[in-house]
Amino acid sequence: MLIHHTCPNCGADMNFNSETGMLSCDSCGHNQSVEQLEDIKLTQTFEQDDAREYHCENCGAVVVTDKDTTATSCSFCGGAVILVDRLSGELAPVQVIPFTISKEEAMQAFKKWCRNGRLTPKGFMTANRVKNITGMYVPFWMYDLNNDVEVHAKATKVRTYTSGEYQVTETSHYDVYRKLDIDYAKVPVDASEKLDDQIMDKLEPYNYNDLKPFKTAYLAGYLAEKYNYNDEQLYPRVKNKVKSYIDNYITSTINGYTSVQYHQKNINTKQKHSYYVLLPIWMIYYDLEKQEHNFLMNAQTGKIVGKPPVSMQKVSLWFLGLFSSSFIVLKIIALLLGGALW
Amino acid sequence: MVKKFKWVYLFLLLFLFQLPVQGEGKLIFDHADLLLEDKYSELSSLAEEISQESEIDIIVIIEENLKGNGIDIEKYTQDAYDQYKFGYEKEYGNTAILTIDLKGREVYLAGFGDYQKYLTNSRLDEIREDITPFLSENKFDLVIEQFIKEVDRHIGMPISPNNIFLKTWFQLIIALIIAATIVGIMLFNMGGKVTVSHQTYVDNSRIKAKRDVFTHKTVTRTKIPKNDNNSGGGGVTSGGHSHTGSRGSF
Ligand SMILES: [Zn+2]
Ligand SMILES: [Zn+2]
Repeated sequence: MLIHHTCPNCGADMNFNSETGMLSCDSCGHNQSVEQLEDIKLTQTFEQDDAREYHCENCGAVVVTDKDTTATSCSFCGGAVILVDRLSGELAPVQVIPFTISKEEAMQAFKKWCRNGRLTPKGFMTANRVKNITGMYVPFWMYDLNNDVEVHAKATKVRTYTSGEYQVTETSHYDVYRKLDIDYAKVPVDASEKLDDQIMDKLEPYNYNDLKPFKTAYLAGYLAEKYNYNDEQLYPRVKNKVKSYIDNYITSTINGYTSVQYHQKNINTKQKHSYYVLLPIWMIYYDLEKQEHNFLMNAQTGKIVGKPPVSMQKVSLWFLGLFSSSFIVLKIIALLLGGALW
Repeated sequence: MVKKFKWVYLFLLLFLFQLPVQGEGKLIFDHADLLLEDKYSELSSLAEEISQESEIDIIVIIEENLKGNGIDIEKYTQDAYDQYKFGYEKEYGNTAILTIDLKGREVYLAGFGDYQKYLTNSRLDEIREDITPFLSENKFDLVIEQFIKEVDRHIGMPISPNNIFLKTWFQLIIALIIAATIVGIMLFNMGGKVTVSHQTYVDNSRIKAKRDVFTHKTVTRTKIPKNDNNSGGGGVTSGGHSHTGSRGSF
């Protein structure tokens, strides 16, 4: 089933406005707050092999979707459509962080980022080759995790001093034990198979103060996708993700030693909760010398991630500049210390 | 004729006596008569020139046999300083002394006065290592020349002129490492970096139990290595003047 959010005043399609955080009508300027809207609750669940055709209720044209699409716009009339049967049942997101950066702001920020690219080719810095910029809600699983950690380690404190004609090294050995209890809240893992995991990890953090109960109206005017992996399937990834955090914390609890050698590290991670949420990104497709570069922007914080093209010329210039300036500085220090010029 | 000669001799003697009063004392004491006359005066004037330039008395003492007569070369050098009251433009001032014991095949270098800061034990070691090859070959004129030039090279230098930091090849390598590291970091970070950590997602963390149990202690003793060729360093003379030093054999 496909829904439109239509304006109660004039009947035109309404889109979510990232500036006001409300639905707004482009035709008559009417604004409507999202929180009070009642979502249509569907009891039927989505069928996996659903190759169903959706028809735009405005113009009757076929709405082009792929199997994961949950929100898009009619390619014929441009009306925002939401595929509500793909957002229901176990596919219903619990929460959403709405867009706070508009398309124009995203473009501005991207241009600025390109200009600041110190190692990118000259042509790239003008950023007038943006082929396409798309706002999309990415499916994420967020996990509340409890970690029971037990660590056994051998640690040493070394003291050296001279006694007469001898250099004395005194090594004190310790058995170190820590039992830790660590709770992590809302650790996110992206549930889309299309997006690169490493790049998605770099888009974090999102500010969770803006997490809102999910309403379909937030998706109006954007692309959205459903998850490809459920919370059980992604659990190993989140466990792996927090492992480095836990290691960090363990190290911070063992202080004052010269060396620490871990003998046993038992990490027992338990999942307390998992939430299905949608987080906003801007996808920027960029053409440079017939090569396409994709960039992602955190549409809440503006953080940009992606692999920009590298200009070998600029890399060499930077290298030469840094090399010669540090050599000159070293030379000046040496001359001040009385060294010769050569 | 004889009278005339005596008169000239007296005049010369007087003239020579006048010199120390003008602050230009004898700098090279060749008690072994090792140097030919013109070599002696050549080196003396070099020592004189550098002494004036660097504001330090550069003294060379050559002895026939110290060790054989039971005289310690370091003590001998200290006593020489006490006795002759060496120093640039004042008694007990800045002085560099090179003492050579020909039979004992030993050498001692000492620095006195404020300029000990330029002639530290380790810097005197460096100078000694520089002149040792000439000592071994018994080329004592080269030893003295080299010693004078090395003292001149060290005076006024906050760090040893032989310090690796002053070498151009070393500066080039450091500059290379700095540039490569910075450009490497720039390249690595240009696609964005992970900015979340334990702190970002931690809700609650506590230490439920901790134990740090001392089990045992291990002690290792290593004898501080002593260079057979080099013992001592600086010290204090009987007259109470502290000095730096470097001792070695050749
Ligand atoms: Zn309207
Ligand atoms: Zn349409």
